[in-house]
Amino acid sequence: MPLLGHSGRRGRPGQLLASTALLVGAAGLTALGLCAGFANASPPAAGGHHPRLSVTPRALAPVGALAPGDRAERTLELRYRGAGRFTAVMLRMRSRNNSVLNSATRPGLHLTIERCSRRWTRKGRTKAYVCRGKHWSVLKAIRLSGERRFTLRHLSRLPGKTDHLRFTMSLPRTADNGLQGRISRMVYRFTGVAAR
Amino acid sequence: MRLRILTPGATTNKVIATIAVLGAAAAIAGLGTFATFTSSTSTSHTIASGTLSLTSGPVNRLGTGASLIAAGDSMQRAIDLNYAGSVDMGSATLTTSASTSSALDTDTTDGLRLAIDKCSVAWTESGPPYTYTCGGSVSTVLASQPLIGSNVGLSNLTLTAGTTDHLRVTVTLPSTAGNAFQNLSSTVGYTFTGVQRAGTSQ
Repeated sequence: MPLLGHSGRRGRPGQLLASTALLVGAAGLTALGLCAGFANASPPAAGGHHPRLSVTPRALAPVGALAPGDRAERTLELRYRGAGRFTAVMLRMRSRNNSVLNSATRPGLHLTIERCSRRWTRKGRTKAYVCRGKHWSVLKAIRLSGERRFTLRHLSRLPGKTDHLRFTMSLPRTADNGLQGRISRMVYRFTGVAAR
Repeated sequence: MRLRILTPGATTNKVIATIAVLGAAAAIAGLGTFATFTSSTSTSHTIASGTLSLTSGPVNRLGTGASLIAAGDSMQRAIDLNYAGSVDMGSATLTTSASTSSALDTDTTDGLRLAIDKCSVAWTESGPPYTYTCGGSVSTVLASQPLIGSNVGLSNLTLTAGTTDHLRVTVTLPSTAGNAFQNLSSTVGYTFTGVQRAGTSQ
């Protein structure tokens, strides 16, 4: 009896510990199981069960002979394919070359991104674009320097939809002679984070 | 005896605890690794800044001096201004300054005066002493004014990238210049400055 009583008193913490272990173990297996399910699903690039991003064109028309005070506008289409929606879309930008145009300490290139509910249209015979629908600011003017990452705002992020974007690159009027005759090769990478 | 009975229990507890720790670790690792799906796509862009360049030549007679000038005399010198950059100019100015000064350049009433003309084609030179005739059309770039000036605006220039303006600079000692202007000497430098056009959409 003393032994049983003793054992009974110690049995409760033991049972509690065992229950906890089982629960945690089950949670672990469940997590792994769920993840295995995700892992077995078609990868985003190949299957249609998860949202995918695509952008056109893959290379924006180059800008040549930009002078202080100039702006260059380019349009691109961001498409959401597959099923499900993205909770967020991020833009990572980096320069392929080390250009003074992308310097963090000099008044170099700036970028602004806007979205139009309809396709952007040319403004007369100019190289500027106008929005004939609803208009949103996707990314306020930021400096094109270093490798940076931003969360884009006011995108539809809906499957089957296309966001019509306008990229506006500008060189401030304060840019000095040291920025003459330089080239910046930028890469813009859009990354969508899928809803779970 | 108690030790014998308790030992297996302790081992069991350790095993259970180990499973719990492993399970928790697996759960955390699993959730951390497969938290989200992402999809990426990218585009690239090349952006080049332009150049602004103002050069002179091949014709440039401004370095050729004149001596023993008298009241009423004038000197003509030709200079080509080239807009050699990739960006158009919006305006150009001229600044003249005397490194060796005299009443010839300081007297704004009876001292030397400057005027600039442009020919639509290259000036035809004769001399020395140099004189020029235009086989095309002539336009006034700078009306007659005192020789020394700062950031004086120039008119009727082409200012387009890749083009050249053919200029004739005429310096005159007015006929009103008195004897006080005899045997004086001034050395004058000319600085043409171009400013880019206004910002545009590219």
